[in-house]
Amino acid sequence: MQVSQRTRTAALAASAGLLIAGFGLGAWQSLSVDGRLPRLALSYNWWMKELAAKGDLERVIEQRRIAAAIDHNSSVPALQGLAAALQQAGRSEEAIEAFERVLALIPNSVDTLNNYAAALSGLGRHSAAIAHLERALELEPDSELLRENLEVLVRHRRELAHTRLAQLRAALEESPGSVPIANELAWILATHPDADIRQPDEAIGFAMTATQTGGDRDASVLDTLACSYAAVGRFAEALATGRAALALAIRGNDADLTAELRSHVARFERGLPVIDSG
Amino acid sequence: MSQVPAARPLTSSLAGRSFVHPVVDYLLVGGGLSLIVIAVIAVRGSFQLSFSGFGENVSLMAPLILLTNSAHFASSTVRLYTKPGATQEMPGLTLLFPIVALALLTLCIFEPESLGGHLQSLQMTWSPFHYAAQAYGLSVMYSMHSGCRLGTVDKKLLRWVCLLPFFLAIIQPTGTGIGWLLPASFLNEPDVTRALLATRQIISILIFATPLLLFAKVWRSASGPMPLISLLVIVTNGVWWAALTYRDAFVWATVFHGVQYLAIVCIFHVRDQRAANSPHGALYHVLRFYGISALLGYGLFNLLPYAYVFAGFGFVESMLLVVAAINIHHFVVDAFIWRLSRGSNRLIVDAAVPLPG
Repeated sequence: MQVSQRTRTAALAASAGLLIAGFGLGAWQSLSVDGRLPRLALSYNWWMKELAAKGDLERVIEQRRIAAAIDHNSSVPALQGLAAALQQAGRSEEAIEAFERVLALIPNSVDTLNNYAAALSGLGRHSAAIAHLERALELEPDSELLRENLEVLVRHRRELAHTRLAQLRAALEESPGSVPIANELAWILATHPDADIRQPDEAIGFAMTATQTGGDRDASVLDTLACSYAAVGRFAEALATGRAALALAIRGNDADLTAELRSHVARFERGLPVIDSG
Repeated sequence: MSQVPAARPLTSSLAGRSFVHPVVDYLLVGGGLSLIVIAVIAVRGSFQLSFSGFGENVSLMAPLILLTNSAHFASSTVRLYTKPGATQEMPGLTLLFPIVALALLTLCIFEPESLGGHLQSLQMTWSPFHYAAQAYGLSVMYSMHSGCRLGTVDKKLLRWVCLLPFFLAIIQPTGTGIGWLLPASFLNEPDVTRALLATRQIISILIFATPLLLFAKVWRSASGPMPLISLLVIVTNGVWWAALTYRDAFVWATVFHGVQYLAIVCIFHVRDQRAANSPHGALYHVLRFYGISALLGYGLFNLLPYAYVFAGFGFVESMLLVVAAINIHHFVVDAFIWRLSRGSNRLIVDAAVPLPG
């Protein structure tokens, strides 16, 4: 390809001009904002710290999100930074998503498991939070911090359950025929992760009440009864009731509920009760 | 036409011919220095080969990156535009490509999470290929310079051997190489994960075994042995990618790849200037060339991102994507300016091949 001298000069001048203008603007920007020429830095972390120090959390999150999308070289720290910023901003659902992406990359990160548990707990998902803290403790059994966090969460979950049970019992006295109240009472008493909360015999009673007062056409209510049977080891009845609940869920086209009930039936088939890990 | 030496002493054939001095060539161009440094770091353990380790040494690492890595990226551009007649011989590369690269960079900064991510993935996938190509080029260059005329088959084998670290580097689950090109759902299948792990293990062994086998094969051929520096260059690139973690490899490989590159580009620049009858000495040309490269490196890597910040973009996408674009520009430029088959490069490599004794 033959290019005239004039074209060559023009193209070179354009490239050089753009570059020099870019350098000049860059220097001017840095001098005017930071009062100095750009620092020599290996990463953008200093920039995040400065944004955070200014309290511009939304901008931190936006920049962290971009870093997580681009920076494949440091995808773990980028995602950890994003999760932390989201949690700090109180955007727990998004923080949980970010923590899950970190854990997909480094499943045995104790710090991430601990922070993830905190985010889950913040959303009231105490059992899931406890499960992740327990996993973290398996990885780092000597950690006092993890042990304390776990104890606090377990205690908190137990207190919440006691409070909720008291509220439900009082409510049921006022409305003895309430299916949702009887169902929730039975569910907690049958499936709570803490053994001292579970009262399976009582759970069967409340679940029967719920089914006999109209709940027998509700897949969730039947499932509670099935779980209550399983909690006392009556797996044949659990299986029959669980299958009836599953059939109702399938007829109702509820995909999430169907999947959950399928997993319950599978447990009954193996002679296992259901524990609420939510 | 240059003459091929008939029979040279074995020690001389193995040592090869250096461009500057054997110590300089073996340590800087051959990558010997990187092996020493990596060994010292690995033994001491006080200087962790990880990013967190670097985090405590930012003040040392950042200038080191500027003086090696940034300067090396800029030096290919400096060499391109200081090469006599480059704009006439390569108008697309010298005149059009910079503007296209700048436009593409700007477009990616506009859409950082979609386009920008791909630019970064392209850069990270191309990097180990570029290093492999450099290892191959240097290995052939030292062989030619030392009078070892590799046959066509040996050159092909050498290319495949040099590409092994690249194959190892692109077997990544996320973001890079096959992790960029193939869906994560497929790569996370247990069978696929197991197969990839096994492949990585096999390649890791081949990275160190095949250079030795090829070295032995070439030794037995008519060309006689390759110089050891040709072997060292290949092994060094293998160590960078096989012995270090992926992230460490990206940091340390770029530092020592930069050192290697700066050394050889300065050698060629000085030879070019001498051929053009420059009145100045070698030191003048080295310092001038390196100084311009370091300054341009500072401008490209440190000032240019701020120009995008000035235009209203975030610092993160500006910094990361400017780096990615400079890398890719460098890879493309390099593919053209180091062709050994013709021009002044060939003259420098062939120059003063020892005559038959």
